[in-house]
Amino acid sequence: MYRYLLALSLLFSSNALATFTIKDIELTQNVVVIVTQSSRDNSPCTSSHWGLDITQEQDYALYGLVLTAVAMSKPIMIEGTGMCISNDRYERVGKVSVKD
Amino acid sequence: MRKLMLLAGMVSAPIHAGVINQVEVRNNTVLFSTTSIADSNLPCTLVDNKKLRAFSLNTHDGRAMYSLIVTALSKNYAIETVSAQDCADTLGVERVQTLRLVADVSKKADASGGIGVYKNDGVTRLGTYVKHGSSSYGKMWEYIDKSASDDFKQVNISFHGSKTIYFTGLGCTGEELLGESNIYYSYNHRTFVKGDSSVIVEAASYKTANSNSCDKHDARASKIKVYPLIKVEHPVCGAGFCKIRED
Repeated sequence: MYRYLLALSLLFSSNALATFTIKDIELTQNVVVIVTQSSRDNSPCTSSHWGLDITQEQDYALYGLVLTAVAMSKPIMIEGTGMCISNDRYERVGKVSVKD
Repeated sequence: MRKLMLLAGMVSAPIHAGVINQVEVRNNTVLFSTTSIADSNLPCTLVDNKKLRAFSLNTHDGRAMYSLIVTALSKNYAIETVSAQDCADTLGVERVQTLRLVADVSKKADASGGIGVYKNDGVTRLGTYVKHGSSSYGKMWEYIDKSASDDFKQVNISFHGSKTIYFTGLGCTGEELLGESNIYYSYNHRTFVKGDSSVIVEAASYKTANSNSCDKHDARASKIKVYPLIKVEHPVCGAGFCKIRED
């Protein structure tokens, strides 16, 4: 029963992987905002966009991956951290993978 | 105070996306310009740098902005800028606070690299390139767009120099005048021009098409009715010639 509940909670949590096409990227005051073509309704933050705090090394590396996906015109899979940045506006990205 | 700042943001100049046409790295500072950047109106900006924007590479933001610019350059994507309203990073150049890359989501990863005809901004696609031509009289571009038609779409531009140019002064001096209200491209003015048909004036002198010298130094006796020349945008190409580029 415990395992079943855990699996269910993972399935419906906001940090489940989802695929997005990047529409535009905005950069201001150390925060990268990723706007995707399709919006989502499972963000724990006030905006449905994703965010990266580029003062953090991992986020800066993820930013490089996001830019590579843009340069390759490829969609990306994003996994959220469930944490909000920039005055609770954007869910911080935890994992990015470029999708073929 | 917040309301005032919001209001200031709302009444500031509109932001237009443009393709990067200049990038330079100098003393840990990136200087760049785009096709849509308006002249800076900050008092700290030098006259020669009105079209330039700058940011420092000594900050997290600056290094990330540089990556964004390089990515935009590699795909010919448009970017938008928001000013920091100062010249804090480089003397005489307006500093950028926000940079936004506008990705063209219609592009597919495995696109075969078609060729498009674009407006002069290099961003707005008119259609798929068919052919183009050029002569001393003008330029022409043919393309296909999504609307069904029994022929190709065609844009024609005639050069101002291929027409007789009239002048307000004797000996081809003073202001230039045109005998008709069609749109022409003027290499002298580096923009499109036309005769303002709402105002009729008499020409004092003129030179004929593609002539390098004044053909009629005093034409006042002929009482030729012409129009003052005004600068306009081309209805299809915009501020300059249409462009051809890989999609």
